[in-house]
Order: sequence, then structure tokens, then C-alpha cells
Amino acid sequence: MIPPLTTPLLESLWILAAWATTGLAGSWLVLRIPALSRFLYGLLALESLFMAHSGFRGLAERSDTRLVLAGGIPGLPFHFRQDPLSSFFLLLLGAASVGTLIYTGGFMKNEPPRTNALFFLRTALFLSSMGGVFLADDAYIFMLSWELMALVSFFMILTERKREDVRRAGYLYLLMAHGGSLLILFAFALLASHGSLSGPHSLEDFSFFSMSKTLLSPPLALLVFLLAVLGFGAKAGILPLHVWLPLAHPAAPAPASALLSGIMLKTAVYGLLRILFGLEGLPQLHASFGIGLLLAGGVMALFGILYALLQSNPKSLLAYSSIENIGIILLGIGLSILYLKTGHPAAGAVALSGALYHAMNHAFFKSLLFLGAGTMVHATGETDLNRMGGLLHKMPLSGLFVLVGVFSISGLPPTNGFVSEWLLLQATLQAPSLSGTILRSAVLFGAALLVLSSALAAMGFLKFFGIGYLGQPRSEGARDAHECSLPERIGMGWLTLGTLFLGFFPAFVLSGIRGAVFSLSGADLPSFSHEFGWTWLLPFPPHGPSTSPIFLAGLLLLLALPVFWLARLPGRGRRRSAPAWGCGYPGPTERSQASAESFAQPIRHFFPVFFSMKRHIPTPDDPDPVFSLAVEDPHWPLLYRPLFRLFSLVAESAEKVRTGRISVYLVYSFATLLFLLSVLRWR
Amino acid sequence: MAPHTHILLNRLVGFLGSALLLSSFAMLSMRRMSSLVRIFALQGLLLTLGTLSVAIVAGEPHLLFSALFTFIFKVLVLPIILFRLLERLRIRGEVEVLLNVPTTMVVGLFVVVFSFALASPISELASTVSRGLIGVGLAALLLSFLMMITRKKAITQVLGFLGMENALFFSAINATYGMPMVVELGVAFDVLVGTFVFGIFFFQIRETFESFDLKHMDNTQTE
Repeated sequence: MIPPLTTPLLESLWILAAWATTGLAGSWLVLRIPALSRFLYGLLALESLFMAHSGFRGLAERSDTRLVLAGGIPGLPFHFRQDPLSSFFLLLLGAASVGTLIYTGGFMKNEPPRTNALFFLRTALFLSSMGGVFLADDAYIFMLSWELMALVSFFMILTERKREDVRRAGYLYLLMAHGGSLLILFAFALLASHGSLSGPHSLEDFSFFSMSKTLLSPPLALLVFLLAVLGFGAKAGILPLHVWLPLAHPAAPAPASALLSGIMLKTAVYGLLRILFGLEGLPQLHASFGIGLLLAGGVMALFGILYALLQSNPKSLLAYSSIENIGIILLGIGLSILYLKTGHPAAGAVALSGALYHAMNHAFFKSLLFLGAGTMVHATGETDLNRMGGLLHKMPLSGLFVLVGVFSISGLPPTNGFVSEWLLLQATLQAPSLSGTILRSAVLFGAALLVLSSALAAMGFLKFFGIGYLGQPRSEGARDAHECSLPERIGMGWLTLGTLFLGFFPAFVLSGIRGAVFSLSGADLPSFSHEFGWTWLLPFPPHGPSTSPIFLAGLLLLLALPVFWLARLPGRGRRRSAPAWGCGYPGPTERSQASAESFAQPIRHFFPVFFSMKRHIPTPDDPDPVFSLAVEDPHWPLLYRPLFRLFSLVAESAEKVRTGRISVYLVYSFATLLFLLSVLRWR
Repeated sequence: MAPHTHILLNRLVGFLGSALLLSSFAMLSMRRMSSLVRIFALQGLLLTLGTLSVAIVAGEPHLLFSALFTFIFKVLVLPIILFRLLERLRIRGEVEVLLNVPTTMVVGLFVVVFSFALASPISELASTVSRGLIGVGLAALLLSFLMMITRKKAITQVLGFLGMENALFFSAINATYGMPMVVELGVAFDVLVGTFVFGIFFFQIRETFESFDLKHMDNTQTE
């Protein structure tokens, strides 16, 4: 007996329940019959597919339904709502997790049943709690899902909990996640109390509907904005709260990283959009909030990609690149607030859809790349790019998938990364229509940061692919690498197809995003109703120039054909294998290839202010010359370590109060009692 | 009831209250352990009589039961348990103090003044016949607390704790004619069980430290 799924919201809620029950029942089954795990992951993927369908339906119908379920706390039943924004993120959650789930079935098959079962349970609950975040329509169910998500992801990071670095990373993540939750809760409390200091009148004030009616004074509106940005920023990795990301991702197994980076970071984007546009509401925002977010995002993007370039662990490289991509998304959101508040709705809508588009893209290509990094690590047994190399020959298909991901994340023309960055750039090009030097220069500064970081991204991922997949194998492990299992290839293939689809059919995707943008900002995208409109990217301004990814792809193919033809034509230029040209050097070995560090050397040279480097160059007469270089995130020595020192200083002085004598403790209670009583009496 | 009886009983309640306060001071100043327990029993008796007279003056029949329970627990059962404890643990020595008795008494005087200042608005709000005595209850409560602070031995701590419970009970009766019956019963049993647990603890403490001095129970210092 299945009740009719009349609305997408009902369908989504059923899938949340299905995920959770599959997780509970499935983990029990996996523990007994480990061989089943592959099918059970398939089942989860099927449910994800339904979730994607529900999100798609919601976007196509532009439905906005609410549902109140019994439960929750007295006075505040569970409120759910699926509006176009939720639908968009549910589509992202469903569609991107399908590939990761199929992949996980192959990735985890050699793990002991206990590990496998636990990971299965955590994955399923993780998906379910993220869905809960997207569907929540009151602060209680939102925080409940949000905290469940944080806890489950903490345990996913701790899959290899025996390792010291994994535990450290997990602990740091938990700390950041809870600190962020606290700020978010505070923001909700401010919204629920309608700006009055006496607090909310009833629990019903904590429903999002009631919060969205709140009128705040300008300082309080700013406070809510800051709390939301910092609270969700702790999850999304906004500077300087990003330090957990590059530690947690190398610690977690690849599928967990893919879900964390590909999807969980988007819950923070969703939360930010929901609070800023949905609850606080556009009228209460100020253009300067947009400038702040724009600059924060731009700096984050540049910082993230500079550090990504320096990493030689592929997963930390991807983690820093996530910081860059979230920076780009925040930049887009900031840009849209700025335009919407200065009376340029069309440009604001373009910027917002660019940000949403980039969120969707990032979910696909970052999941794909994390899974690719997982196969690299699995196949070679190495975690350092300097000990990989030449993998494309051993793993042609997964290498090809990773190549597509690399193209996309670099924003090269026929791929999806290009589309979203193009949209954002087009929005920044509307800067001349703004009035005021500060606004204009902020937008142009953001544009410069955006362009610089996407160019650097191309370089970073050239390093990722070039050092990892091309050249000669640099270690025994890389020499003995093997192609990954079938489910892993299917999972990566799904994400690759999704990436290509998002790149080739932007008009189709934008028609979906449009609904979400309209429901958020009340501004509509410029219409694109000309002939073969679906092949073209949004022309902006409406009659301005545009571009078509399909056309570009055709052009590239046309240009590549003669080269291909010359190389492969039978009879001409027979293929032969010969040793690589050693530039005249007689004994080239794999050690003489460019290493991950040498590749990034120019960047270290050009941007010294961003790095805190410790370099040791041996003198010519050193009998035991060792060159060493250590680059550290400057946030550790400049912010976190002094903070920790201050914290332990305060804690140690507080320790003096704890004498250990019962009588003294009784005196404390006595004094407190007297004090509180006198406060009560002579207030 | 005849009005003069009424006035007489009202006076009696006032007298019992001041006697209770006096007994609290007595507990603070006692130097022998066995007299401390006797005063505790006396305090229980005063409490019983106080409850009884409030019950008659206010015409609250359920307070009669409260008085009965108070009598059984605080005048008979608890003192008997405590005396047995003293006997079996062979405690005869003097009460050891952290702060000498005269100083404690002076501090106690200030505490009483503070309590009356604190209770005056509550007394105005309360509608009971014996509302003037809320300050007495508070003062007795704080004095018992003071005893817990200034004494060294574990048994005196327990007596201070029981004294606090007596004072709370007294305040509750004077402010609102007592708590609901169920709550009072529960509290009474809690105190009884607590005393048993304390008794078992005392044996354990003596086994471990061969002394009741609180300093042996002090938390181990860090480092």
C-alpha cells in the first residue's frame, strides 16, 4: 500500500524514509551476507534516482508544497516544504549521489564485513539527513537534520579510526561543525524572536513561515547575516574556518569525500540561501552584504586554488579546490545580492543562477574527481602524486573519466565548468551599469579574482592529471596499477555523463534553475526564445553575444580531426614505441620528470605572501645535503595556534578555582546562593 | 474555634519558629557529636509541633499527616539510625571545626539578618497565617549550610544536610501550607534512603582512610 505520490514533497519524504530503512536493514544484511553489499548500494542508488526525479518534478512543475506532520516537540510539529530551491538541491543530491553509491559498491567490496556494513549504514543515514535539511521548514527539524548530518559525516571520516591523523581530522571537523551549528541556532533564535530581546512568544515562531515574516532593525539584520555566513561557512569552508577540509578529505575514504565535498558543502550553500533570501528576505538585506560576500568568496577562491596547486596528495589538492569552488559560489551569491539590491534584477538573476549552476556542476565533477583520486590511491597503494604517474596506460577508462572532470573543473569551453563561470563573468560585466565607485570596483575586483582563480585551477588540474596519469610510473605501485572494478567504472561513468550533459545543454538546465531563482529573488532570467534556443547559452544582455557549447565542441572536433587523421592514417607515420626523448641526457629515469613540487614552484615564487614556507637549501660544502621544503597553511601559525594557546592559558587559570577541597566547594555554592538570592531580592 | 485559642496558637507557631532558629544556632555551636544528634531530634520535634499548630490554625487537615510523618522520620527513625552509627563507628570525639565557633556564630548572625531582609517581600505576598516565619525558615536553611561548610567531619556534613531539609520543610509549610502530600512523602523517603547510603559510606570511608576527616576525601590535585 503506497499512498499516491501526488506531490513531489510526498515522494521526497518517502525516499528519506526509504534511505533510512534501507540503511538499517541493509547494514544488518551486509554483516551476514557481505556479497550483497553491491546490490544494496545499487538499491540506494535507485532511491537516489527517485529523489532526483522528485527534485526534477518539483522544478518542472514549480511546485511549492508544505506539509505538517505530527511529532516534533509539543507546540512545534514537523514542518516540511519543497519549493523550487529545495527541489533544485534535492535534484543535486539525488543525481550526484547515484554515481557515488554505485562506485561505493565496488570500492568497499574488499573491506571486512563490519566496516562495510557500518559504512553502508552511515552513507544511507547521511543521504537521508541531507534530504531532511533540504526539506525542513522549521528550525527544529532543520537543526535536527543538520546535526545528524554532522554526526554521521564525522563517523564517515572516522572509517579508519585507528589512524591518529584520521582521529585528529575527525575531531577538528566535529569542533567546527558544532561551532557552526551554534551560530546558525543563534541566527534562527534572532529571527524567531522577531528582533525583540524578550525571545520568541511561542514555539510556532520557530517555523520558517513565521520567521520569514520577521522585521529586523538594520544592525540585527547585519548580525543575522554574519551569523549565517559564519555558521554555514564553517561547514562550507569559508576562510578562516576552512582548516578542517584539507585534513578531513585525505582521512576519509574516497566515496565519503565525494559525498562530503560534492553534496554536503552544498547543504551549507542551501542553508545560506534559505536564511538570506527565504527567512531574512531580500528587502532586509543590504548591498554592502553582497560586497562582503563577493570579496570573501573571491579571496576564498584565490586562496583555495593557490593551496590546491601546492598539494602533492591528490585528495588534499581536491579539498583545497573545494574551497575555491565554494568561494566561486559565494561570489555569485554576493554578486546577485549586490545587483538585486541596486535595482538590476536581470543581472542579479544571472549571477544567482550562475552560483546555483556552479553548485550543481561542482557536485558532479568534484564527486567524479574524488572517486578518481580514490581509484588512483587504491590502484597504486600510494597517497602522493610523486609516486604515481603513467596511470592512463593502466587505467584507460577511469583515466578518461577523470580527464573529463579535469576539463570541467578547469572551466574549459565545452564543459559545464565553463558554463557556470561564463554566467558569473557575464554578470560581473554588468558592473558599468552600477552607480558608485565602490560597488563598481568591488565587482570588477571580484571578476579579476574569479578569472585568476579559474586560470590557476586549470594549472592545478593540469598538475593533478599530468603528474598522476601521464609520464612514466614513479613507483612500483604505479607500475603495477590496475583498472578499477566494474561498479566503480559505472559510477564514475554516470558522473561523467552528468558532467557532459550539464555542459552541453545549459539552456535546459537553466530552465530548471529559473524557477528556483524566481522563487528566491522574484527576478526572472532574460528570456532566450530564439531559434535553436536550446543549443545556446543564455545571451546576456538579452540581445548581446552568446555562446553555444555544442557549437564549440563541434569546432574543437573539427580542428582535432586533421591531427587525428595525420597521426592515425594507415600507411603514413607507422606507430612505434621508442624510449622517451631525454633532451640529449643519456640516462633519463622516471626521477627526472617534473615532480608535483617543481610544477608548483612558479606559483610559490609569484605569490609568496600567501604561503608560510620553511625552506632549507643545503650549502655546497654540506656533507649530507638534503633539500627540504615545508609549506603550511598560514591560518595555523597566525590564528589557530595562538588561539589554542590562549584557550589553554584561560583553562589553566580557571583550574586554580578547583582546589579539590569539599569545604571550599561548599563555600562556592553558599556564595552563589547568597548572590542569586540578593539579585532576586534587590533587582 | 474560639478567637483567643486562635491567637494563642498563632503565638505558639511564632514561638516554635524562634525555637527552631535557636536550635539551628545550637547545632552550629555544639562541640559533642552526640549532643548534635540530640539537637537534631529536638529540631524534628519542634518541626512536628510547628506543623501541627499550623494545621490547626489554618484548618489544613493534610498537614496533620505531614506532622505525623515528620515525627516518625525526624524524631524517631533518623536520630536512632544516627545514634547507632555513632555507636558502631565509636565516634565520641569532639566536633572539629575549620572556622572557630564564635566566628561562625557572628557570620550566622549576619546570615539571619540577610534572610529576614530577603524574606520580607515574600512574606507580604504569601497568604498563610504564619507568613512571618518564612524568614526563619530561610535563616535556618542558610545556617545549616554554614554548618556544612565549617565542619571537618563527614557526619556533621550529613547533619547539616538534614538540617537544611528540615528548614526547607518549615519554609514550605509557612509559605504555602506545605507541598503536595506525594512530594512530601517522596522527600521523606529520600532523606531516609540518603541516611542509609551515608551510613554505608561512613563504614567504607573508615575502612579506606581510618578517619572521617574530610581532607581525605578531597579531590586529588592535578599534577
